[in-house]
Amino acid sequence: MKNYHHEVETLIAELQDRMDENQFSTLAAFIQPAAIADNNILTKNFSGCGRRFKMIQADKTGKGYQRWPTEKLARCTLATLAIANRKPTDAAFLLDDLFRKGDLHEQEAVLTTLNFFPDRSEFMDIAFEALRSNVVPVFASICCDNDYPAARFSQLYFNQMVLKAIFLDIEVARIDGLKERLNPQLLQMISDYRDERTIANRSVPEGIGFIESLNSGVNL
Amino acid sequence: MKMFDPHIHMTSRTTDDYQKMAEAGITVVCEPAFWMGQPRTHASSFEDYFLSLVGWERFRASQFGIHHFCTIALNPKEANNANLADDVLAMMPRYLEKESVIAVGEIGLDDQTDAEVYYLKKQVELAKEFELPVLVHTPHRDKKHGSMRCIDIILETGIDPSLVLIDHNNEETIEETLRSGCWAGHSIYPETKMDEERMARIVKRFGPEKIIINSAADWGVSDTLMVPKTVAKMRDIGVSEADIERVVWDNPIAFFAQSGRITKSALEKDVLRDQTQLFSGNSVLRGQTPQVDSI
Repeated sequence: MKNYHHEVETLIAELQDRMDENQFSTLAAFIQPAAIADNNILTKNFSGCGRRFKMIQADKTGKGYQRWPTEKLARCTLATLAIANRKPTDAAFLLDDLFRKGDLHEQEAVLTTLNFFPDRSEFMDIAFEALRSNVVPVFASICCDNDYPAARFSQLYFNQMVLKAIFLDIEVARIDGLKERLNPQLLQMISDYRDERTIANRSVPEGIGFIESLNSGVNL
Repeated sequence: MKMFDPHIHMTSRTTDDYQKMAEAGITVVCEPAFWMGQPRTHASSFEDYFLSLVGWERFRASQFGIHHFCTIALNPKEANNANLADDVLAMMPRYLEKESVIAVGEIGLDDQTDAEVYYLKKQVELAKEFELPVLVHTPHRDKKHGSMRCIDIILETGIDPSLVLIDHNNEETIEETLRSGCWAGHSIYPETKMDEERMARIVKRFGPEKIIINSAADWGVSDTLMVPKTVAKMRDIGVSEADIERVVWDNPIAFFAQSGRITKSALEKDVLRDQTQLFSGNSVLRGQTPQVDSI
C-alpha cells in the first residue's frame, strides 16, 4: 500500500520551495482541515489553483515532482487530503465531481491523484471514464506514470488501454506495470495491429516493438 | 496583424469559421456565455454549457491555432426565469475560478425588468469578489436610455469603471460610455447594430482610446470575419496602423488582462495546431488529413 501521507508531505515541501510567502499562505488556507472537509470550498479552491499558481515555474530540468506544473502539485495535494479525510463513498463522489466538472488541467490532476491510491477500487469509474477520453493529456494522466491501472484494471481494460496508447502514439514505456501485466491476449492484439499497419503500407508504431521486446524472456 | 475578437459565440459556428478566422489573422477569441436562442428549462443545462466553454470549445479552437477564453454569467434574458436564476448564480463561483474565464458576462439589461436589474447587481458583486472585469450587454430596444441605465446601475455598485466593458455601442451611446470611464465595445453586424464603415468612422473621430470591436457572431445572421473586415475599412479611410492595432489587439488584451488570467506575451505566442488530437473521442475532422503546424 502506498503511503499517501508521505506523498502529501513531499508535495507540500516542493510547493513551499517554489512559492513566496503570499502564495504559500494561500495554499495553507486551501489545505486547512475545514477547507478540505467542505465540498463547496474544496471544489472552488481546486479550480482556483490554476489562476493562483499557474505562473509559478517548475524546474523543467528536475526530477519527479520537481517537473510538475505548480497548479498540478497543488491540486493533487488538495485531492489527496480530501480523499484521506472522507469515507470511501464520499471520496468517490467528490472525485467524480472534480473530474466531471473540471477543465482539462483539473481532470489531469484528478487522474494523477489516483496514483497515490492504487488499493482503492471506488475510483474505478473515474479511471474508466478517462480511458474513453481521446484528449491526449487526459488519457495520458491515467495511462502513464500511474500505478492505478496496473493495480486495478481487469485484463480487458488494461489491454485496451495499452492498445489505445499505441494508437495515440503515447510512449508505452511510461505505462507502470506493463511488463508484469503482459499477457497472451495483449501480445496477440499487438501482433494483429502490426499486421494491419503493414498490410496498409503504414509505419509500425514504436510502441509495438517496445512491447514485443518486453516479452522476450518473459514466460506467459 | 494579429487580431482578438473579444465577443464571439463559437459554440454556434462551424469549423469552416475557425479555419477562415485563423487565415484572416484572428488568434484570440473570447466567448461570452449567452442566450442559446430559446430559454433553457433546467439550471443544469447552464452547467453543461459552462463546461463546454471551458472544455470542448477551447479544445476545438486550439485545433485551428486560436486561443479561446470565455466569460461566465446568467444572461439578462434568462434572468427573468425565476425558476432557475438563483440556481445558476449559485453554481457560478466554481466557474469564475477556472483559469480560462476572464470576465463575468454577458450581464446587463434586455427588457429592463426588475429581475434583470436584480441579477445584474448580484453579478457585478460576484465580479468584485473574484476581481474580474465585467462584459455588459446593452438593450437592442430603447438603446440609448437602456445603455445609460446599465452604466448607472453598474457604477452604483462601486466597481471601478475601467473594469467595465459596455458592449453593442453605436454613435448615439459612445460618448456617454467613454465619459463614464468604461470601455466601449462595438458589435459589427452585416445588417443590424453597427456596420464596418460606420465603425471605421467612429475610430477616426474618437481615436482608439478604450474602443473595442467584435463580431458578436452567433447562431443568427452574423459574420465571424467582421473584425478583419473592419480593419480593412479603417485602413481605407486612413486610420493609422498603430491605432488599428490598438483597437483590435492592444485594447481587448488590456481590458481582459485585468482579470490577471491573460498576458500579452502569452497571447503573442503561437498555439500549436495539432488536429491529430481528439476531445472525448471526438475529432473536429471528418476524414481530412490532420494538420500539425504552428500558425
